[in-house]
Amino acid sequence: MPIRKNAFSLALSVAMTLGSAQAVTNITVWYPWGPPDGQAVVDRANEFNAAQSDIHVNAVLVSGSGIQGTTQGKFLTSVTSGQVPDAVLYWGQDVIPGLANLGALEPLDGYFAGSGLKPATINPAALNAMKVGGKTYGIPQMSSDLMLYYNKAMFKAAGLQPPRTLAELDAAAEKLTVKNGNDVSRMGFIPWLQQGLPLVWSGIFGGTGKLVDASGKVNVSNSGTLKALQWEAKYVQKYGAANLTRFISSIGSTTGSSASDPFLLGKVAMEVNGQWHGNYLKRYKPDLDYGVVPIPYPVGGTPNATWINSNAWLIPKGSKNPLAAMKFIAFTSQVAVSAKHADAVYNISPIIGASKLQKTLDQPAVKLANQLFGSKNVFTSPVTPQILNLQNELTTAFEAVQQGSSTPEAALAAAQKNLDQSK
Amino acid sequence: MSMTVGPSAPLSVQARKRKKFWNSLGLGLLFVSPWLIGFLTLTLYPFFSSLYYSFTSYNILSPARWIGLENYQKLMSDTKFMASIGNTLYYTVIAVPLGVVLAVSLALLYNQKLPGNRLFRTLMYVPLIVPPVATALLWQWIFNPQVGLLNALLARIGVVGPTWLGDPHWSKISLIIIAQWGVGGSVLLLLAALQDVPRPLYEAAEIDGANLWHKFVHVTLPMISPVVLFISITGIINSFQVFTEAFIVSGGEGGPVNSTLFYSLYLFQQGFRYFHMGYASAMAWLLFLAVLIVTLIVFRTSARWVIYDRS
Repeated sequence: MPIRKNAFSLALSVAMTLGSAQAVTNITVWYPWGPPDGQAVVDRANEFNAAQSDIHVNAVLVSGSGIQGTTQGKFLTSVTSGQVPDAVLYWGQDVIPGLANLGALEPLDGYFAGSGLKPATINPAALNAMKVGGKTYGIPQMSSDLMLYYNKAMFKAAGLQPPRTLAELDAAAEKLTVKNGNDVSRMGFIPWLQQGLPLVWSGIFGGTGKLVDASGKVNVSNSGTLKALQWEAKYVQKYGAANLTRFISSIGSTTGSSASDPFLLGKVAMEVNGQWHGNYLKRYKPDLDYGVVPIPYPVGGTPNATWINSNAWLIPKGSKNPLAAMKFIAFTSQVAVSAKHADAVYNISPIIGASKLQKTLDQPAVKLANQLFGSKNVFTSPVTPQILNLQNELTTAFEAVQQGSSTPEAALAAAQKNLDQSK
Repeated sequence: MSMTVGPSAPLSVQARKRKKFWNSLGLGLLFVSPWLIGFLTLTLYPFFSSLYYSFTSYNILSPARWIGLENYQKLMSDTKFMASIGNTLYYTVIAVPLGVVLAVSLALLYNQKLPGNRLFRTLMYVPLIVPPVATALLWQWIFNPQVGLLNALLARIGVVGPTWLGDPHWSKISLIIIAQWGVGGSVLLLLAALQDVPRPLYEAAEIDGANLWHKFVHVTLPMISPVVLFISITGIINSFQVFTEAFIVSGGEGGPVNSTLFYSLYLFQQGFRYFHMGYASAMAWLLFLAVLIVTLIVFRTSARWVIYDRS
C-alpha cells in the first residue's frame, strides 16, 4: 500500500508540474559575447524571469550569435531546419538587409502593440537603420558612436591643442610622429587604424549616404568616398607605404579593443575608436592621460559628424514564440533597465531619455558619445542587401591605396566593377 | 515445379552457395553500415546535389531556381575569381616542388647515422600535431616585421626583412614558408622508402664505379620515386584547397589587396558570407575538375619517371 500511495502522489506531483509548465512559455535567446557584455544580457534575462511568471527566458551564448565569427552559419542552419531560437541578439546591424532579403528574419511591426514596446520610445536614427523596404527587422539594443582619442601628455609636450578640423589633425599628426633611424617608433596618427574604417571616413567626407542611390544602385566612387581616399593617400605619400605597413604590422592588435591597443601602448598619439574603448583604457591602463573630441571634419564638412551603429534584437523566421520574445525585448527596452545595461557595458542606450539616467556619463568618452548621438550629422551604414560585399570591396580598395599599389580613382573604379558584376 | 523450391525441400548446392553469399554480404554490409550510411547521406548525396545547385541560383532559404550555365558564365568574367586562380597557381607552383625537394633532402639527412637522429626525427614531426590555426597564429609573430624572429635573424646578417604578411608582394611567399613547416609528414614516408632500398643495389653501383651523386640519381631516386609521386599528388591537391592559414592571417578577407584570396577562400566567401550557394557550388565543381585533370596528367607523365617494379 505505501508503494501505491507513493506512486499516486508522484503521479499527482508530475501532473501538477506539467500543468504549471504548460502555463509558462519557455523561450530561447542567443547572445553573442562572453562577460562582461554577455553577462549583462544574462542578468536582464534573470530579472525578467523573476519579474513575471508567464515567460521563461533561457539565454544561450552563441559566438556572434551564429551570424558572424566562429559560429558563422549556425543562425542560417537553424532557420533552414526550423529549429530556431525565439530571438537573437546580434553585435551590429550590417547583416540585417541581407538576412531580411533572404527571408530569414521576421518583420517586427506586427508585434509592437501586443508586446507594449512603443517605436516612438526608440531613437529614430537607430531604429530606421534597421528598416528594410519599410519594414522593421531589428530593435536597437545598445548603440555606439565613434570619436577621436588623443594622448594629453603627448599633446602637452608638443604644445598642441586637440584638433577640430582635419587640417589641424594632419598637422598634429606630423608633429607627434617620432622616428628612430629608418623605423617609425611612434606615429601621430594613422587614419585607418582601429575604427578608421572606409565607411567611417567616407561618411566624414559626406560619402556614406551616397554609397547607394535612390534606385538601390551601389556607387562606391562617389565624390565623398573618393575625397576620403585621396586624403588617406596623402598619409601614404608623406610617410611612405612601406614604412606605414611595417609599423602597423608590428604594433599588435589594430582592429579591436584589447590590452595591446596601440593608443593604449603609446604607439600612436591619436586614434579613432568607440566610447566602449574607454572601458578598456580604464581596465588596462588606468593612469593613461587621454582626452576625446569629435572626429575632425574636412573643408566643407560638418562638425560633430560620426558613424553610429547599434546591436540589434532579431527574431528569426520560424520563431515559435515571437510575441513572447518581443515582450522580453520590450522589458529590456524600458528606460531604467536600458540605462542600467548601458552603464554595465559602456554603451549608449538607444531608448529616448535613458541616456540621461546613465551613471557612466562622468566618463569622458561616454559623455561625448552621448552628445554626438543627438547630433544631426550622424550617419549609419547604407541599408542594402549588398552591404557585406560593399564593405569587402571598399576595404580592398582602401587597402590598395594604403599599400601604395593603386591610385584612389583606380582602386574605387575596380571596386565598382566588382560590385556591378556580383549583382 | 522444381525440387529445390518449397519450404521443406533441401537446398541445392548452388542455392546454398548463393544463400551463403547473400548472408555474408548482408553481414558485411551491416558491419560497414555506420560508414556506408554516413557516406551515402553526408558525402555522396551532397556531392551530387552540389552539382545540381551549381546550375541554380540558391541562397539556402528559398528554393533553388534553375539558371542553366549562368553561374559558370559569370565566373568567366569575375575578376576576383581569376585573381583567386592566379594566387592558387602561384602558391602551388612554388610550394609543391619546394616541399618535395626539402622533404627528400631532409629524409636523406635523417637517413644518415648521425648523433641525435631520433630526437630530430621526432622534432621534425611535431609541427604536424599543432593545429593549423595555432600554427598560423604562431607564424604571425614570427613574421612580425619589427619584433618578429625572422626579421631579427635577417637583421643579424645585415638584411632589412620585408613586411611579410602585411605586404601583397610577400604575403603568398610567407604562406608558402608556413606550409614548409609541415614537411615532416612527407619526410617520414620518404624515410621508410629510403630504408627499403635494397643494399645490394648500392654495392653493385659501387663496383661499377658510381660516386655519391650517381648512386643518388640512378639508385636512390628511382627506388623512392613512387613515394615522390604520392607526395607530389597529395601536395597538389592540398595546395589547390589551401584555406586555413590564409583565412587566419587575413581575417577571412584574403588581404592585403586580395593577395591571399585563394580559390577555397573565395569559394567560402561566396557561399557562407554572401549566400551565393549556386555560385559557390559551380566553383567547387570547377575545382574538382581541375584537381582531377591535373592529377591525371601527373599520373600519365609519371610512367616516365616512376619505377614500380623492384624485381
